[in-house]
This record gives sequence, structure tokens and C-alpha cells, in this order.
Amino acid sequence: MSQTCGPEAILAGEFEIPYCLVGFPVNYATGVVEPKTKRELDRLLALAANVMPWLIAHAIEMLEGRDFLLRSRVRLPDRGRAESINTRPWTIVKLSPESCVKIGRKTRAFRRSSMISEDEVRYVANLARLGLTDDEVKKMSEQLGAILDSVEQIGELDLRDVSPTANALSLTNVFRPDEPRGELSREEALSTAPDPVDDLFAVPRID
Amino acid sequence: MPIDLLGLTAHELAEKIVAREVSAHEAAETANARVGEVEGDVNAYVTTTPELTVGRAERVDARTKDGGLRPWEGVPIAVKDVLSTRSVRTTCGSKILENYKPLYDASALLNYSEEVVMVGKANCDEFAMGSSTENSAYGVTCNPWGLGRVPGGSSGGSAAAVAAGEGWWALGTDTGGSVRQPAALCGIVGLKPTYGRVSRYGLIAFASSLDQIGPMTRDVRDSALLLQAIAGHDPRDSTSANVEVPDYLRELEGGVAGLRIGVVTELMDERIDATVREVVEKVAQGLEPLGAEVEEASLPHSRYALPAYYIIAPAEVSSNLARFDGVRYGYRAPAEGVHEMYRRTREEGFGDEAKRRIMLGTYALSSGYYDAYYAQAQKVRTRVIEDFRAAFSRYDILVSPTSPTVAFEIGAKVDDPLAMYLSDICTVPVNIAGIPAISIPGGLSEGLPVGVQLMSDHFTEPMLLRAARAVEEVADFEFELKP
Repeated sequence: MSQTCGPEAILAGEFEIPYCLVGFPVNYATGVVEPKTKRELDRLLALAANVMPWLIAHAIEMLEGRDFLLRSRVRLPDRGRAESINTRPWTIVKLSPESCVKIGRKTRAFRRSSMISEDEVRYVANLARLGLTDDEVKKMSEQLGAILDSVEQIGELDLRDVSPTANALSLTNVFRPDEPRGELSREEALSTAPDPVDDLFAVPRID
Repeated sequence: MPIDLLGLTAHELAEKIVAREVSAHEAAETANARVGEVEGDVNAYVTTTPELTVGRAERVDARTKDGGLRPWEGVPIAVKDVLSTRSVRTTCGSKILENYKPLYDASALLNYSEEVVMVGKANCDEFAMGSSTENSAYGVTCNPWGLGRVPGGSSGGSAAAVAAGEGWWALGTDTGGSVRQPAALCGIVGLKPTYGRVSRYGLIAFASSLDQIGPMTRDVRDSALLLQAIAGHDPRDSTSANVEVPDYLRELEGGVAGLRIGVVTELMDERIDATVREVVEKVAQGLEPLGAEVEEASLPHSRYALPAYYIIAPAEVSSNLARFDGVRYGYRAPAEGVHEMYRRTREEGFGDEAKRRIMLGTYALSSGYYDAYYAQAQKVRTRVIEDFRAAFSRYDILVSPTSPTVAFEIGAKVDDPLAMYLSDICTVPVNIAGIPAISIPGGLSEGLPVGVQLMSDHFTEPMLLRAARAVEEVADFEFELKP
């Protein structure tokens, strides 16, 4: 916690108000390793002006209305229109610690730093049943982070009222009669298997 | 004096085979001899099949006697190694399929002929993921225009084979530019048809909602002829379009008079090398005297197509490549338990880029991230499609560069995935929208070919090919065999 944010954090602590800081670190004292250019900082600041109100508004939207009061039904500001946040009639009265955790979890995609942690790489590799060496894990955490950073340009767009497209030709289900057809024989199907045993695909012990 | 077969285009050779001036057997022997000459330098193929080439050519010759030979049969072809070929090993450029011999042929090949005179299986980036053919477990393919340079990718082997005369034409596959970009870098014509135009049955899937098989040829007429051969509805591919196949050759020489042509501003910015832009400008302006209206067009969301692609494609990869688990086919690593077997098989069988994309896709689809990434990317897709729809209400054809650069040095981008991904900025929006597009050589920069990309609306390939034919006429480029 740097000087800039210190007083708020301490005050929040004294009043026992759950407190969360969202921002991006710019100096060495806050753990920045690689210096950024002025131009890059300006770009990030401009980006943050768009992202912040959107992030806060969405976080509130996710709370299911249990722990806070809204004076009137809130219409979320458009992402990219930062000024609108000052004009919306909402007030947060109280947030429980559980709610803060919930916000944190649901918005973690937007808090992601430039690197995917090595633990996270290992977790995803396990989901994909993909063995990785320690060197690969390290490299992957940097490269995936860099790729995802570039993907986040998408965040500049307001996509809330856009419906997703899965297929450019808008095909829906295509059916054929459910009738047996001449397909591969058992021998053929097994001919490519690494370890066919007794007309079956054999695998090592299931653990 | 004997005919210089290597100097003929595929359609010229096809005519001579049908007219029985040249036998398919001679063509096959010529192709095999050319492979013997240049393959050591180029490495266009993972597997060559010289005996099969000649054997099938002889059977085609036997059929010419009865007539009824379709005009492309007998022309030796290079087949990208992601297309299943019965009893001929199909590696996808991956170690995991090192010894895999499919039990059936891809539908596109069966459409071509019951006896495909195949020279061999062309090298490619592993599972078609890459833009340089450096991600192959079977060595890098060299660009025939400069052997120290990449041929582009992922269909780099197919492109190099055509440029070097190791086959008169080739089949490639295009998920984000994998037919068009290598065609551009190797100075040939590459066509990505409308999504669904060519059956994907037997194409080993990379990203199923984007993949499409396409012709890679010496000229535009060859492209039209090869599309004619492979296009059509296929009940075995539920995403293949049940749309009548037109005659792609009939209006080929119709010219561009009256066509409205838009040069896409967003794809002509500083991300594109200035010399590449110059070639594209010159070609576009050259169409005006032929009666086309040439203006600037806009695709405002096209810059978001690439980031969306790098969520959608890896997401589909993580699902499609799950089947390579060492159980039913392909490589299996020895292990005590089944989970260790999966992990080690995939660790040892897949290369770096395949692993990267499996990880990226699995991450993007994992709990808590799906909405932030995949769902958003699918919405961007809608925006990109709307852009094209708006543009095609004003223009018949859109024009851009195919690749932001000419062929780059081998090794230049291999450790920087993001730089490599930028090779596809001009081609990816086309796959996202499912429209057809073609790359035609437009001229040279630094002595290397520059590709011009034309795009048109779904299922308008006849018009696209007609415009491409006009580009070929105005371009300062002639096909010549390299190296």
C-alpha cells in the first residue's frame, strides 16, 4: 500500500468498512519491475477511465441486492462513457465482507495482471491433460499473459446488446435419418490403435 | 520438340491430358522428377508418394480412352497433410500423428477424383496453427523465392510445392489466412471459399467454425477449375452448404466493368509495410480504366477480429485436440496410469504452438472466464459480420493486402507468438465472417511477391474470381518456377 492510498485504507480499517482498491501500480515501490514509457502510462490511464465505472457498475449488478440499497433502479453506464457515473442516482450503504469476496471473484477476469500465475498455468494444464515442464510453465505464464493482454482490446467495445454468433452461415441443427450405415469394421477401427487387446482399446490402469 | 510440361498451368495440362496429347503418366513422372531436383532445398512435403502418383496416373490414363474424364483429373496435386488420405500417412505436421494412416479419404479429394494423382502430403504448421510452417515436427519449408525465408503458413508446404513446380496445384486449408497468406508469400493464387462451400469431412479439425479447404494455384483460372472440382454439398459434413455449385469458369473473363470496388481503409494503415500498400494501391487504381468504380471502404470493427480470433480459434482447438489422447490412434507415451498416459502423450506429442493454443483455449473456456472471453469474442464476431454486410451493400468487392509484409526470414518471429499472429490481421476478418476471399500476386517488393486480397459476399465466388482474373491482368507479375 503506497502513500497515495494509505489514508483511505487505514480509515476503512478503523471503521471496519470492507475496503477494496482497484488500480494499476506505476512505480517501483508498488512492485513494478519494468519501467513503462509516459506514452504507455497515458494509454493505460485513458483506458482506466473507461474501464473503472464499468467495472464498478458490473460489480454492483452482481450483488443480488441483499447487502446494499439503491435509491432507484440503476441503469448501468455505458462502458466508454466515464462521465455518466457521476450523474447516476445510486448510493452504496453497506457491503458485507462476503459481498466483497463475491465481487472480487466475479470480476477477477478484469483484475488480471499481465501474467498468468504459474499455479494457474498448472491448473489449466491439468484441465487439458497436458504435461508441461517447469520451463514450459514459466514461458507459458508470460506468453499467455501477453496474448490475453492483446485480446483485451475487445473491452473497448460496448457489446451488451449484441447477440453472439457461433457460425457465420447461421446454420442450425442438421439432421439425417437415424439409420445404420456401412461404416468401419471392428478390425479397421482397431487397426490404428496403439494397444488393441481382444477387440478393444486397451489403456493403462485407470487411477 | 517435347512439350515443357513444367511451363504449363494446371488447366493447360488438364486440357492436354483430356485431349490425349500428354498422358497423366508423363505428368506424374515430370512431377516426381522435379521433386527429386528441388525437394532437398525446399522441403515442401512431409511424405512423397512417387509410386502411388504413377500408379494412379496410369489408371487415369486407362480411363481417358473411354472419355468422360473430368477436366482436372490426372493433374498431379499436392495435398496438405491435414487432409485425410486413405492408407497414406497423415501427420498434421505433428509428432502425435507420426504413424497415423487414415481409413478413409477426405470428401474434397473424392470429389476431385476417385484416383487422385497425388504427389505427396504437403508440410504445414502443426494442426494448421501458424503463419510460417516453422511449427512442423517435420522441419521448416523454405520459400522457393528465397530459401532463407518462410513460405508463410500454415499451408506453406502446399504453396512452396506449387511455386517450385512440385505439383501443378495444391489443396490447402484456411482458418485465419492459411491458404491466402502463404499464397501471397510464395507468389501464387490462394482462394478461401465461402464457409461450407467445400466439405470438411476428412479435414482434421483445427477450428471447426472457421476451417475451409481451398485451392492454391499458379493462376486464377486454375483456382476456378480446382474449386469446381472440390466444391459441393456433403451429407457427411453437417456444416457444408446445400447450395448449388455454379460454373466457376463461365464468367471468368467477364471483366470488372461496373463493379464497385472498395479498398478497406482499416487494412491499409501503418501496420502494413508501405511497399506492400503501394502494390495494393497500384493494382486497385489499375482496375479503374477497366470500368470499375474504386473507392475507399470501411470495416470499423476489423481490428477487433484478430483478438476475437485468438479466443475463438484456441477455444475450438482445446476441444478438437482433446481427441489426441493416445487411446484410439496416434502416439502413446508409456505410463503406469491412464492420467499420466494422457499427460505424457500430449506433452511429448504436441509442439509449442499447439500447446500454447490448447492452454489459451482451455483458459478462456474455464469456469469464471467464459463470459469475459469466449462470450465477448462471439459478440465481436457479430459486429465484424455486420461490418461486412454494410460494406457489401455498397461494394461488390473489397480489397486489402493479404499479408502485412513480404516473406520474412526463417526464425524471425518464432519466439514471439504475438508478432507471428499479426501476420493474419488482413485475413482473419474473412474467416470470422465466413465470406470468400482470394489472394493474387500483385507485384514485387524487395524482389519478393506481394499478395492482393479480394473479398466478396457469401457464395459469390464467380464474381470474386472474375475480379481476381482482372487483377491478374493489371498486376506487374508473371508466374515463374522457383528456385
